[in-house]
Amino acid sequence: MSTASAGGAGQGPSGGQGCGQYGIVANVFERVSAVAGEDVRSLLGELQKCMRCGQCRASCPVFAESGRETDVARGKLGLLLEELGGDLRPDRELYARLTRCVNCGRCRLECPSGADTGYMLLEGRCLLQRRIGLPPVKAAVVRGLFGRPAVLRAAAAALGLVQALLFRPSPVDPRHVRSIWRLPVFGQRMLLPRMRKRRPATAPALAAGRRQYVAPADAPVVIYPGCLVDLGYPELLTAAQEVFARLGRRVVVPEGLVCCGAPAAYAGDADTARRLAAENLKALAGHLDSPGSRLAFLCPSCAVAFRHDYPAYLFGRMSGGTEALAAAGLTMDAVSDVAAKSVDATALAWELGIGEHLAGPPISASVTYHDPCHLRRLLGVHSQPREALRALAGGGFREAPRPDSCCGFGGTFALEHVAASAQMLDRRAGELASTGAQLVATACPGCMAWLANGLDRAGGGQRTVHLIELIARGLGGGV
Amino acid sequence: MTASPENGTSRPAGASSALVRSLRALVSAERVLTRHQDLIVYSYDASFLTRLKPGLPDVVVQPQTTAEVAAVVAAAAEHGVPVTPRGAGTAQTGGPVPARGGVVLDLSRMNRVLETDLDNLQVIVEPGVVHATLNAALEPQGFFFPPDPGSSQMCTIGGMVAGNTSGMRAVKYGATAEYVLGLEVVLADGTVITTGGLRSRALKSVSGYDLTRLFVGSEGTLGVITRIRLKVIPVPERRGVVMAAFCSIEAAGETVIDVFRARLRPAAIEIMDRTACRAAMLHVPGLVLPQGEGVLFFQVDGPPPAVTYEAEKLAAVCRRRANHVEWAEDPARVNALWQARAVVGAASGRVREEATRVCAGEDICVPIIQVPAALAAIQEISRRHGFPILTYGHIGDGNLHAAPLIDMRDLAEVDRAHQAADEIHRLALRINGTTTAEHGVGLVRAAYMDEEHGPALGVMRAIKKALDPAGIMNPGKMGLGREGRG
Repeated sequence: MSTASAGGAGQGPSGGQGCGQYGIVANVFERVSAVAGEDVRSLLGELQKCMRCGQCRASCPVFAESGRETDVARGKLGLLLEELGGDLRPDRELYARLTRCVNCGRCRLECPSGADTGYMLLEGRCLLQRRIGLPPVKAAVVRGLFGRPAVLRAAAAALGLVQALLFRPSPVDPRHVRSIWRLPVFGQRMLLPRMRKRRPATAPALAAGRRQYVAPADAPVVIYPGCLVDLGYPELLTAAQEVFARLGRRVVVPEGLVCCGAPAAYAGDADTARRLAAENLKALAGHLDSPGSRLAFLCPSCAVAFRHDYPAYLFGRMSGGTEALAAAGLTMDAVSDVAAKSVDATALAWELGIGEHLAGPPISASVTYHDPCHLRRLLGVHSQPREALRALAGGGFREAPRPDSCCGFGGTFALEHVAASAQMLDRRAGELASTGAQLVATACPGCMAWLANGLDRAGGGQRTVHLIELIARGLGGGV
Repeated sequence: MTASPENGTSRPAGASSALVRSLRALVSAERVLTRHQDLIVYSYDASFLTRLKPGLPDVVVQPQTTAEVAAVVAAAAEHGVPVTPRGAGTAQTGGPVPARGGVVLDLSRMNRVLETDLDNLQVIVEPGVVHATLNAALEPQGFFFPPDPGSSQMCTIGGMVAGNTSGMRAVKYGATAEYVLGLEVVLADGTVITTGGLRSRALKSVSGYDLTRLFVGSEGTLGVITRIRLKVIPVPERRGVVMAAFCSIEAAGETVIDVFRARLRPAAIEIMDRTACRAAMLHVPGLVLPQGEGVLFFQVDGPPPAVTYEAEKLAAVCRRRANHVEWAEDPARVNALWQARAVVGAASGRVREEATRVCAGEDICVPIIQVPAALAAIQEISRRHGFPILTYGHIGDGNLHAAPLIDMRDLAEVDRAHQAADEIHRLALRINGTTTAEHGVGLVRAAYMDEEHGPALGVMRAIKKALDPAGIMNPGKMGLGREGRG
């Protein structure tokens, strides 16, 4: 067997006479940083913070199902370090391992050494992607579709036609359609949100001008719908508009918003992510000038992109961030200002006092709740949705086991790592179904769509619903 | 790492394809890992040494049953290939890292609690059960397994048994060994034995040599632990905390002695030096610790009136030398007082930006009366080498955790960190201590075994030879080979 690999490790210290007796002449940190540029040097500076204690084994939801050490941050960062050291050939296998991740942020938040695993994984994928390119399917999705709004819209329309031919409405929830064939690997018929025509710019009730603004008109709630809401769940946008109008806020949905860039950033394509980020920030210019204005999100992952990833990573510490900021004609102040105003829509509604407007339980069903990872972990919202549901659910609120666990969606994770994602999904859907609640509420369109699949597979007849819809319904006949 | 950077090939050069073929026949193929990228992540643990110089396995197997472990060990023995057992890989010693390649047995997927026999104060678990998971299952039923390592949330019971690890509560409750009633072990030839009695559910037994104790703390050098009969005890009804700050480290050390003389027996006595206190305050904005050179934290537990009595008496003893004393027994206040101690590990990085905490010289144990002298000596070592060393630890049993904070990109500093670790280890031996209280020997302390044990190391080597004549069980560890190198 091979002994060359471990001769050094077998030696250990042999005496107390000073340097050189350890058989260690160089280590990867020293060796690489001596010749690397500033970008790699600073990545190494962060990489060394991982002291390999293994705490991420306790927090990683992908590892919880797979039991694979390469899935936890410690493993991925170990691979990244080998690659930087030149001991590992950059290849598709490495890319696939670095992207077996739902980007939930648990490992970063729970790291005892405070290592920024988010930065390291995004930057690491980025460096790798620059050397070997994206896998074709992923490039088509993050660049070709989400990277180009017109193509995305056309593709959604085309998907609508495909759905009309090859999908049938879900028996439990007509806004989802189910494929007539079973998907390989996934092993089941797949449910997708039914693709809809382009949303109306303004909810009908608002257009009628029946609202009196309570807050000053220059303190609007600006809504960022996000791709999935835009194309698959436009009624969530209508619901949000009604909720904030009821709170006396001027509601704005700016033209020209595009994908938040998270799929590209998570895939290691920082250039596409930055281009989208810059386009969004330009579309928002002028709408968020007053201190009282807020940017509300229906998808917590989009919210995290605006609130955290733009300033901290894409235009922050990731390589090329400062240059990209200047090239886009943006300033860090502007990016940080938008970040500070970015909030989850349901949490904002709660904060602004929507609770007082609820007319009593609008639904007779019992409800359970699924915490979206990004909402609970990265935005810190978990008690407000429960308070809201206790007020709204006539049939009672039922907490599911392991309230902090992931549905397995993770954006393109579900596309690239179907089997791992489906395993996580089945476990989570089983837990939610075990509550016996008739409705599964959540506050993320991605979790909604993915859990609809899990619940369909579990066969309990439950359907998923976004909290903002329940809140809007709870406003009674006033709108 | 390996000579070849090829990761497209399924195995690194040197792996025996015959062995891998037979392993695939014994264990389902997806639990036999041979891809280079799968092996890399098993080439280190949290030790400073293996972060610098990883040790790559040739193949990793993730067994799920004793029969699979026995078959894998027998196959490895037949091929004369080393076997290194591993749990969560949280060791700070290089213990679970293969020193000479071969098979790594990742036991973390043998993670079932097999039996919960609380009427008889025991549970039977597989080695991969995570410590926190076990206690989370036991505590609602009123019981617990007392040793409490800092890595509780991820470390495995098997790793704790193999390392005889402990934690803060060792002052009152002792180390893992005190709770191990019996073991199932796969020996180096694949034979399976049960120690502590084949069918025994007894809580005490002096029948025969105490083989259980022999395997506890043997760090995988004598066999693979596949099943553990563990004693559990009732959870104390209440916990309280006393915090006291002192103008000098000496005053803190003398107070610990006063406490035992006053016939008090706290569950834990922890100390943080000034650097550690500063780190905690930097880490938690708003956290205010009383001024002092050292802070002591006591944990007391038991029935509510006993906790109140003990905490009050402890506070009175502390007041003789301390400049600030606080105590609490309602859970919120207990947590607030305990917060500084709870975050100190996490906080260590805040003392120096652009640096990392390394595990080197991190686990010495000295006589209690020598703790102040040892803390002063560690600060002197820190000054001489020019990097911070934050020290905290379990002063109640003299166990100190030193955490050097270095920049691994600086080669000279890396070398000085090795020297500092060596000096800390030698300091411990000089003042009648030991190089390791609860982390183990592994690779990093193998060189001190001869000096620490003298002729007794010869007896250890004879035992090793009797149980593992071919030397395939975790070779290179604990100084059990010739030349003190394993």
